[in-house]
Amino acid sequence: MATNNPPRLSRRAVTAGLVPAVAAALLLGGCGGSSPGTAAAKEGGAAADQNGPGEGGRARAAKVPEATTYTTVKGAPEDASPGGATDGLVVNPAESVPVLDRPDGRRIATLPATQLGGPTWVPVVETSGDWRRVLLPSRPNRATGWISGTGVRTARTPYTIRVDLAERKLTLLRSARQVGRWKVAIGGAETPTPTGRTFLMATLTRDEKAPSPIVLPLGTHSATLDTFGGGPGTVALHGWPDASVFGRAVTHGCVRVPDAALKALARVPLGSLVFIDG
Amino acid sequence: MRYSHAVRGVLAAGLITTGLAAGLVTAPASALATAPQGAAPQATVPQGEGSAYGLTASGPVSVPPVPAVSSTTETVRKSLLREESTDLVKASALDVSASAARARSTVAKAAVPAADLMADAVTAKCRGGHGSAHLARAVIAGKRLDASPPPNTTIPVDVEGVGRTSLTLNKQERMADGRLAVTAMELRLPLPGKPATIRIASATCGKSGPAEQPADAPAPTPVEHDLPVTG
Repeated sequence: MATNNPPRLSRRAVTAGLVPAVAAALLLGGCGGSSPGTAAAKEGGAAADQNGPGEGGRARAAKVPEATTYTTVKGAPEDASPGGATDGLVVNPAESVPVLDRPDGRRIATLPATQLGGPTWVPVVETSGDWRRVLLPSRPNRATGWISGTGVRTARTPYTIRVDLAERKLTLLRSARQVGRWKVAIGGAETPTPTGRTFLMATLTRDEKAPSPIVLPLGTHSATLDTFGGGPGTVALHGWPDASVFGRAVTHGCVRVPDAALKALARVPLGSLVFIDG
Repeated sequence: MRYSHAVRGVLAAGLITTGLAAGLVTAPASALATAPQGAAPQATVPQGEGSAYGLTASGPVSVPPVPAVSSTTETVRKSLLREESTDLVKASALDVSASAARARSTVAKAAVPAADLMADAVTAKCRGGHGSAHLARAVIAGKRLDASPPPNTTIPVDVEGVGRTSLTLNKQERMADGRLAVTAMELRLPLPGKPATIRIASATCGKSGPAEQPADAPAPTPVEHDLPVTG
């Protein structure tokens, strides 16, 4: 737990301390970041557009943010059992749906049907009548919200991913049975990988020669870096060309995994739970 | 039937004033808040469950079911003084209750201006797997509707500027879990681009069978997208 809320570094300290590292990461293509700033600007524009004709001009919707990796959802109830397993239920809204702070409660966000160019799949962590409590991809970490169970596609994923920060290992489980276990690189002392229950948010590929052909962003963010490489500080699972990093705490929050792990993880359904234990 | 009022204007106004603010009179959230942790507990033994909501809308303007209750034990009630978060559908005094064996929903002063539909009170009841609906002074385009319509009474309605729509009274349908859902009024509006469905006063009861198993989640399709993440 201590690693979950480390003292927030001042912006200046982060900038000063990480300039060489950030520069190096960007030269390498970062871990997913080749064009810092542009992606964020693009998504920000899309979010601001939600009052346009495409969304039907929802006056109230404009007052709450879209729940994406780029936003902060205020008033989102915190995940009550960050270590708790579920039966693997995941949901995909057919269209943008309101996110409430409790069943029948106050609207705190809008969950879009797609994000990062793919479908939004979020895990259900609690059910009450027709209401589903889901993990949100937004800040703050462990943000949850309630959506109506009508008008959403449901599916069940047998997969869970466990990252053991103490052991520096990642385990992939199918129906609670281990199907793979690999040594991984985790966040360094000043930029720890955040703990808790999160989920596989997207499966991204990129054209360019990057350190990783596939990047798997999670629904959680670095607690110490407000932004990274122009992005919102999203934590991801991804590959790394230098195998010597596996088993070490050297990253800015991401979990770098070997090729075999990346190959297996890229087939895990979106919305599958990821448990990060300190 | 033809209507001469400015449907488009009304709809446009409805689209920009949605939201969920309404005066909550009572909020006995006990049944909702004490639900067990864990997703979608599977019903292995058939058990009675009642649930009800006042109104809901889907389509370009979405209103989640409000107020909504469900119970597998004693009676749970909820009331909402007003629901006017959208101009598409309005109502005052929405009362819902549900217990393991029965459910009831009453909506007073319900109105869908776009379809010239109004009712003093709309009630749906479900008890022991049987349902009924009652409409008090319900009028569509000046025509009085049957106070106790037979199950699944469908009335075609022509709305100027929108086209042919249909109004279903006392809609009774079997849910996937085997329970019976009674919806006093269901109105479909073929809005340009996106059809809207408005449901007023709905009650569901009966014994649910084993929960339907959701499909296996699909393997993801990688997409090309740039997201700078923490390396």
